[in-house]
Amino acid sequence: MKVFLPIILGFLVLFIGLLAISALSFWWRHYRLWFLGKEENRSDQRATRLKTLLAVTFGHFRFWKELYPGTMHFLIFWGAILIFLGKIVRLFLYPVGLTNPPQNIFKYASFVSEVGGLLVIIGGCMAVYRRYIVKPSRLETKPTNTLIYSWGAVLLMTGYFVKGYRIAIIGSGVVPDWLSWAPVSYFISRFFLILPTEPLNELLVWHRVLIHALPAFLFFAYVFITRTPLQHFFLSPINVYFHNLKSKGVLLPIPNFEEAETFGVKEISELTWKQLLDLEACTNCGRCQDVCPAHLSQKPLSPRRMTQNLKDHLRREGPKLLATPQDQRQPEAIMETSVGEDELWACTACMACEEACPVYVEQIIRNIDLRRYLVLVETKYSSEIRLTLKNLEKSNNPWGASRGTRAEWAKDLGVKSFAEVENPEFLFWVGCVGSFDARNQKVATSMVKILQANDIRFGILGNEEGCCGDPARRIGNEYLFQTTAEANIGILKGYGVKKILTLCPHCFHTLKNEYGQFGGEFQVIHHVQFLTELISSGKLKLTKPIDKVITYHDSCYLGRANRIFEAPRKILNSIPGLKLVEMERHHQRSFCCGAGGGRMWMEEHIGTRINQMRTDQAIATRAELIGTACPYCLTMLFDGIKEKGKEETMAAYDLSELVDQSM
Amino acid sequence: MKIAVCIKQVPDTEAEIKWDIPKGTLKRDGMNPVTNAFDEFALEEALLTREKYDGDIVAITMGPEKANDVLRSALALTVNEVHRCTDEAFAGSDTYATASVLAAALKKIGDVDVVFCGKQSTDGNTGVVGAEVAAILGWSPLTYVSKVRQIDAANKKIVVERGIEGGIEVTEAKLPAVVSVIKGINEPRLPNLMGIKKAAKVAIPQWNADDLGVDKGKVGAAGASTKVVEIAVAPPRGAGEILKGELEDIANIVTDRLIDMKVIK
Amino acid sequence: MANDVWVYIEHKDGETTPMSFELLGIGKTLANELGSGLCAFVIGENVENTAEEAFQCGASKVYAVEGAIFKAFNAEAYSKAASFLLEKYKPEVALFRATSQGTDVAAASAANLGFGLCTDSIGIRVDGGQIKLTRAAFGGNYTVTVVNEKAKPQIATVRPKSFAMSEKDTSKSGEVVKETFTVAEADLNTKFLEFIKSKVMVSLVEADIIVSGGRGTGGEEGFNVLKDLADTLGGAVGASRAAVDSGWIPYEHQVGQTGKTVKPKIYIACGISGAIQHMAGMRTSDCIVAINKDPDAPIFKNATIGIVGDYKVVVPKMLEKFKSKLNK
Repeated sequence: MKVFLPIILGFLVLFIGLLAISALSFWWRHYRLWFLGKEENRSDQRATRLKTLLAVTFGHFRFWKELYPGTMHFLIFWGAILIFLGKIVRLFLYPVGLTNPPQNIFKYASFVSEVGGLLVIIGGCMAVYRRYIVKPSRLETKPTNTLIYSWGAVLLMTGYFVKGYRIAIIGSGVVPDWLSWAPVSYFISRFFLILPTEPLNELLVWHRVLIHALPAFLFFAYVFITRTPLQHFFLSPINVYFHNLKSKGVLLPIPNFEEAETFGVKEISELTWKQLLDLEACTNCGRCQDVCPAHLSQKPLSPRRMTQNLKDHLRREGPKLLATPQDQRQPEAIMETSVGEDELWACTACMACEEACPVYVEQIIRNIDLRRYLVLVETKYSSEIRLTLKNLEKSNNPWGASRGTRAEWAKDLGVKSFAEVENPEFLFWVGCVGSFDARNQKVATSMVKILQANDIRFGILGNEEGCCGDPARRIGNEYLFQTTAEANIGILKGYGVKKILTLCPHCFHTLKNEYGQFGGEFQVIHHVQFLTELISSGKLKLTKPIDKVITYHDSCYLGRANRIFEAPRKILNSIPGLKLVEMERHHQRSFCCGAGGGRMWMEEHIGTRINQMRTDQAIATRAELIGTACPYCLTMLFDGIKEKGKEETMAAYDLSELVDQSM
Repeated sequence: MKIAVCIKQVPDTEAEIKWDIPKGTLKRDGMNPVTNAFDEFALEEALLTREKYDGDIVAITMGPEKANDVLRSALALTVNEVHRCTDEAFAGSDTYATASVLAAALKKIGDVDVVFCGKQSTDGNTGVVGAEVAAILGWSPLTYVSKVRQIDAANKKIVVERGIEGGIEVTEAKLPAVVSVIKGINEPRLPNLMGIKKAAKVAIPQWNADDLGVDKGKVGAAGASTKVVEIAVAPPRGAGEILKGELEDIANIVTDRLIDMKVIK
Repeated sequence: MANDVWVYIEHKDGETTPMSFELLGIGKTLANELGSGLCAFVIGENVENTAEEAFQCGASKVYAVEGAIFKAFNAEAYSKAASFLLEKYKPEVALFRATSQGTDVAAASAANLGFGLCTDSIGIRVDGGQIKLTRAAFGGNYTVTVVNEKAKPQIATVRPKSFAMSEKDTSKSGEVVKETFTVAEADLNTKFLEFIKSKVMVSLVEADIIVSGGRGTGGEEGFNVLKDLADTLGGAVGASRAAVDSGWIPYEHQVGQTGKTVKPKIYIACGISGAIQHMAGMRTSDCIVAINKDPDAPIFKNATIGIVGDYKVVVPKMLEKFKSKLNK
């Protein structure tokens, strides 16, 4: 003991010293970089945040979507926790002293860390197998990954060896206790019995100090000082704690148009601290890439890649910026160095990336922030976007169709304008696509028939209805969005509108979740919610059968953004004769139709057409019908069926049309 | 290099046309005034020229107070200087009168190397003011320009491509030159938000007949030689007509109607 | 007693085309109504052949300015010479074809003489001794009638093919009056460098006439018929997204929200349903002719003239009629 004590004390000092350096380094490298960014309040609702943090960290919430990686990571994580717990308890050995036989607590601790080690080994082997043999496309393997696996393996092995030596020293007499408290080490110790005690003691010292303890401390130092992926074990929980509590897909207004000197994000310090944290918390797992419709259709966009490139950008530019006084800074423009234009415009704002990310990295707001700079400051965008924005400004709809013809679709249907209706139940907000697009006018017509058949008192705004502003906002023209929203809110309030029924999930999402930012608080329901209520209350009886097999396409802004998954399925199940089959990607994993993010008005010039991919997925179910509740999706799938030459065998319908047919 | 641009404010002919059926005229107040589409191409060409050769852009217009808006749009696009030519005496000007006012303004600006203007306006549709300005000033007349190849300010030369019948004519001319551009020569950029906000606060300088040294008797309704004596209003386009009958008759009707439009060359 | 009616004869590279004499027809009508004579005027190097043809088309006199400097067309030189002639002889009215050459000379001549002109006239008549010119304005929404009271001569450009050409009478001849006028090359500000003949007839965005095909075209061959019609009419070929996606015609021809925006005077849509995405690109065309088999196609709601039928049958018939009526 006298020999060891100074050494142990020395190491304790070293350990604390290294810990201190590591912590400082961590602060230095990360914390201050994050504070390069703008302010953002994420300190609200601490209880909810804590709950999510605990659920994700210990329950591995989002990992279980995929069984193999989920299991493997769970094992590694819990194995490490157990080792750590065991070791912490062991520290108390020093002040307390080890008795013979050892105190129970230490026996438990020993067992726990042995089990932990085993779990890590099993998980680790699964991980190594996956990364080096299976090689899934989303994993990028760098030298640091290999180093971590090797180092980890060495630490685990030497940990067991150390124990093994100690057991071997005590002698070949079988102590039953050791077997039950340290099974693995006991097993290993049998091999060491060939050596006599003296060399074993030597080995014990060397292993313990040099080959186990020192590498272990160095490993921790490595994790804190360099930029290994393992930093995720403190960065990711921090990111989960501060995650976005609002609905997905809700964009934020630009606070002060009058005084603002610039709009959107041009360079890295214009992101908020949370957005910068996101960049560092990303573990490079690639789950986002695996679900991104742009990436899967060969566009140059991969959410993971963008995040990692921006992280590199931050780490490159950040220190330079911090070293220069604010007025002398010459930051690099993100769009010139780290993100390509085609990459940025390929995003359909479908939120699949955010849904899949295990550490809650947020991508959509950031992408639109980049677009805002291009649109509002540089006016740099394709001629398709230019035309769309011009049309929205002049005619209040993306096609530039004459405002006076907006209500043409309804002229023979006996639909009243909202002002004429006595005691209306709600305003029927038709939306641009429902008003002007030939295919979707039929949906609007079906909806009207349903409403009239059920004696619902409703009205439309007619020619006073203008675009809800969703395309302008997702394209990045926040100024146009704000003026549009404020004008619409003025009109709605002027008519005393309280409740709004929408045909389109984008209108639904914008009116419900975003108009409140400008003082427009309305009760907004989507037609799918309305129909479900009508059906389940018994008012609407669906009697005519539709004897077909149907698959339902979850729209991004109905499903992922607003979590409305079951209502449309209830409707379909209420239609006699209809048999519902699910596509491989459904519910929150649904695959975007390709029209979001303003892309409804842009052509896809690169790769495969997203709508065709989704149509293929529908065709694979061998369904005869595709049901959807969104005019963009309907257009995309309807076109997709035509493009795939399947008009003879398949048809796309909005749910309201099917209800109308069955009524 | 000093670059001038002539812009005109016109009612928006692409938006919905509002008719005052009893009066048989257009309801102009319901209609958005916009920058003449062809002049947007001229403005963009001026901006591209400044980007390439460095210099200053001066935008001028002749019009009433509302015409300040087109100058503000020009300022929002970072044009350096603007002037509005306005005087009661200018009202009712024909093409020559307008051209003389613009010519006087260009002389007043002084040292202009090149003037860009659009081929025609979408309301008057005359398409001759550019050529008339050149003739009045004795500057090089370059019409139907589809591309500016090169401007050599030091040697006072310009080379352009002109899109005329049958092909492209390449012409070299001395500066100063009046360059009248056609649609599609470039893709006009839109002003960014900061530009619009800054321009909104600027006071637009005015020049009247005396400032320009223009003889009031020679401009406006007083000086105009051409006078409009009749206006016939084309009826608003409704749903149109679906021709019925024998193919022979249909073909005759439709071909006659199209030939009557006098558009086919 | 009114002065003569003058018609400007334009030429290219020293050669005239039959169309150059087009306005002598209406010129004769006007001269008869005014009770005066019809003259032609030309500027160039060798005017003998031009003069001969002018006489055959009805002119009694041809005024000419000749010179080597006038061999190739130069807007300044020609308009200076033209102004000289017009100033000297002060005809009642001088008519120019509204081509690039005609318009350039007319505009500059009018400016040189100090007054305005009426452009792109589609109607000319004499009313109470006054010459009244009709033209389209305001994007085709107005037709205005203009008189030019102060100017002598009144100068006007006339939209080509607005009036019938007169029959040639090879027996006719007349007097050539040559005036001496020259311009020094040093005084000219513009210089012709070269002419690049265009393979592509008309660019889609600039075209006044577009013949467009959609899903109903059925294939690449379908566009051949449309191209024939476009060529005959001097227009361009457009397409809807469906046709481009099917690979029947390249993307440069796509008209619509994600293609080009066009504003021709005539848009002939064959086999195009008229979905809003396509309408967004051509909605503001002056005259839309829709040919579609489906009577419920949305395009009929927006077409000036609608024909329910198969374009494969209708278009060749139209082509036949055009060819005969336009003498092509």
